[in-house]
Amino acid sequence: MRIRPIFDRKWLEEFSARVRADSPWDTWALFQLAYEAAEATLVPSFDDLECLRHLHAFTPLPHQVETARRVVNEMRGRAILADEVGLGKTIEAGLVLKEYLVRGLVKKALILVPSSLVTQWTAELNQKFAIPAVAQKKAYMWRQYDILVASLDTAKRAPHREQVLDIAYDMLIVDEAHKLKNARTQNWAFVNAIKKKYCLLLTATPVQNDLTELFNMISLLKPGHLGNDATFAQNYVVHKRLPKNEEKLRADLGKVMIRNRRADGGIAFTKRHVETLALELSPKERELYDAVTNFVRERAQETRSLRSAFTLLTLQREVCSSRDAAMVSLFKWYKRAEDGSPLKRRLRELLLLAKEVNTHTKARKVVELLRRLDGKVILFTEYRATQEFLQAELAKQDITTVLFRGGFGRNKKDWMRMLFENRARVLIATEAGGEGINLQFCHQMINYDLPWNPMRVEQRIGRIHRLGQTRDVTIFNLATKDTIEEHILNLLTEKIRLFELVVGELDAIVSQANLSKTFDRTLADIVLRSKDDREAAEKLRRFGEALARARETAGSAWTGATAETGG
Amino acid sequence: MTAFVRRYIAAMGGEILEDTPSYVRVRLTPDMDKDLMNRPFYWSYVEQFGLEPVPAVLTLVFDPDRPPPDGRGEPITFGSMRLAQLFRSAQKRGRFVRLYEVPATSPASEPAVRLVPWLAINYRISFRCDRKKERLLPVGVNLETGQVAQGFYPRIAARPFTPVMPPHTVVAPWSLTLEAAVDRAEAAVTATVAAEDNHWARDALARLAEEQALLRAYYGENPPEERRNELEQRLDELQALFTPRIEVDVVNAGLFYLSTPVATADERGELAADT
Repeated sequence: MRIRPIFDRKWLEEFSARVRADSPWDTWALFQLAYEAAEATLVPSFDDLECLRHLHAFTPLPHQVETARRVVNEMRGRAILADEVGLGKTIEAGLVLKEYLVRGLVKKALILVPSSLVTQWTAELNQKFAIPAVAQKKAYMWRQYDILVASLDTAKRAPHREQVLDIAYDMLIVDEAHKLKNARTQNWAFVNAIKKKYCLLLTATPVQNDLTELFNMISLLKPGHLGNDATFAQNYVVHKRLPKNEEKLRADLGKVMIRNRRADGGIAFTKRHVETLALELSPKERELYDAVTNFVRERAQETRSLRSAFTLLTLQREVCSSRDAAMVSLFKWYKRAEDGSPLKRRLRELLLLAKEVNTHTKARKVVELLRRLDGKVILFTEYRATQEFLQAELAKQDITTVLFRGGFGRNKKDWMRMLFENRARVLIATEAGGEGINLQFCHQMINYDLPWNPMRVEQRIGRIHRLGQTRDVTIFNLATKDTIEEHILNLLTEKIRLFELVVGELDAIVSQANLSKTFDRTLADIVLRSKDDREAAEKLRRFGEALARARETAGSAWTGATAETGG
Repeated sequence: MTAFVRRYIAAMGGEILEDTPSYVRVRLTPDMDKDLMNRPFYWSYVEQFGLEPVPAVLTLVFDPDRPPPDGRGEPITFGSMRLAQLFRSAQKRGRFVRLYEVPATSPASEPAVRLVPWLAINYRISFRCDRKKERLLPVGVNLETGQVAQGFYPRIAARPFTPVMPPHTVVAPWSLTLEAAVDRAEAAVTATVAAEDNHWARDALARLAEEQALLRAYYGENPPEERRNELEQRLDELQALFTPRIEVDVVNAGLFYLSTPVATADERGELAADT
């Protein structure tokens, strides 16, 4: 086999013209400098990471360098980067992109991220890597700029979609790629249609529910690597969570996925302190809680539809969060209920009970904590009503706060983040705010209420406990005694030991437990199908035991499959 | 690198305002400003209206621990965008030369020194598939004899050259056209490359074949229309990614009139006497 070199002869035309005219000639000094410049920018070997000598703003960690090296040298530039939260997937992706840019193998690159991360990604690529990335704002920019950071949600819609799909990218990077786990979604179809050569998918949670999710992501990256739908199911899957031919699956995954874990060592993290504060409800709060709980259970018996069951469950959780959160839902139902119906009367009673509540145990505790603590604090809640209530409560105490929600646009999110960093003491964030902002400058967090999905708890923690955090991290969990909240918190802390887990062990446990439904659904089932708190507590205990066992055995199949980092 | 920056400034005629071991402050020339400052609108404006241009002053800091007292300036390190601009500027403005070697001083009575014309081409070869490596291949072609010398430029780089023909010299006639000389240079490059280990290319083709097979299996024997188009796109992407190519471009080139011969044979055999 012989490859004929392709000579670029464009230079000869100009050179000949200069020879004929015997002018204009460049100087000997610049001729020499030009040759030296060419030497200095030369890429002398296939294997070495050239990008390292181009980096000055920071020094990447060994596991990040090793990851970049493997992606370029072994994975042919297409990989799922599945490090646990906070280990620096962005850095790894930046290294890979930089490497290809330095080598001249990538010119046109597209980076798709959640809208809240566009500015941050752009800044990081520019500052850390000296990559001239630009944040996409206008439709003309798709063609205008070679390296563009854009929101996936924007890119997939008209008029952007057509333009994006028309461009042949050298490299595509998708952050929070678990949004591509379902092949029947618009997200997946869109990314699948993008023309690309190199591709990186970044996610901390490569598998949330079943193995097909992983298959779907790999099909974007390297279709056929795990076979097609049918052969994949045949060769690798016993049950959606239970792989077969583990050895082979592990080996095959190792070729397209890298997952660094904190437990792998060599990665220094600050300590994490967790304090759970059990709070006694005031008599009026207790009355409201009991009344709502009874209401929820009665209605749950009557309803067959899953959807209304979930709505009920939400109410149950809201009442644990704050009176205001529960009132919003109660009032919505009240308005919808038929006039004069027993339901309407019942809701009215509940609303009146809620109105009676005048002490807010949790809020009081938060104020007390804030008095005791120095420095900035992030306050997480699941509910907007709670968020607004807290802002008002803290304002009364002259505590400056900034709100943060998923619904905010990108600019507003950046603005809020800056306000928090420079002006405010407390950031009150709802769940949607949990994903996509990095707040390492803060090291204290209060979980005003907890999501029932442990993955989301993990994401909350990951906002502050990540590489770059220089101080120990303190997390407070508020739980009201003798409520469902306490049981759930108990399950998460005692059984799963969520807060002690190195981030990422969690998905192993959840999959080990072989849950037939998603985690929070199982919880919902338990809560709604129990006659009373005692029974719920008992079922939760058993569920917890199963999880605890899974925790013991986790580390074999799935963790193993996803943990391969060595070369 | 520090030396490179200083030599670049000198070669471009930049006016050094402050010079310390840890930084230099320089008033750019218009050419430098155009290459380094990214302000094409300013320059088209100045030129269109015939205004007096005010080139920028740059402070390039070599040692960030010892910045200028006024704190202004930018670190210039390997990998910085600024240094990349300097590299580009040098390559853009050091493309083509015609130079005469200054002969060792000789009494005027002696016969004139004979200068032999050489075409020097500094090739950059890129071996690329999904990966890439590059090397420089400097080639010289004797325009009088047709002899091809590899490693030409480094051999003459230390010699004294002048842009004007020195006194008491005569230029030997060309026996080759420029095109013929370039043909020979390219033939030499092709031969050199062909003699090299090409396992990288075979590996790339094997990767391509492997992945093509996976793709075809994934899409099945007879995919429906829509899937077939997708398959075609995927196959194109694989081709673009893996197909091994050797691309050759020219860093710079020049006519050099040499007063002393270039060694024709070399113990390492680097010089290939052609034809």
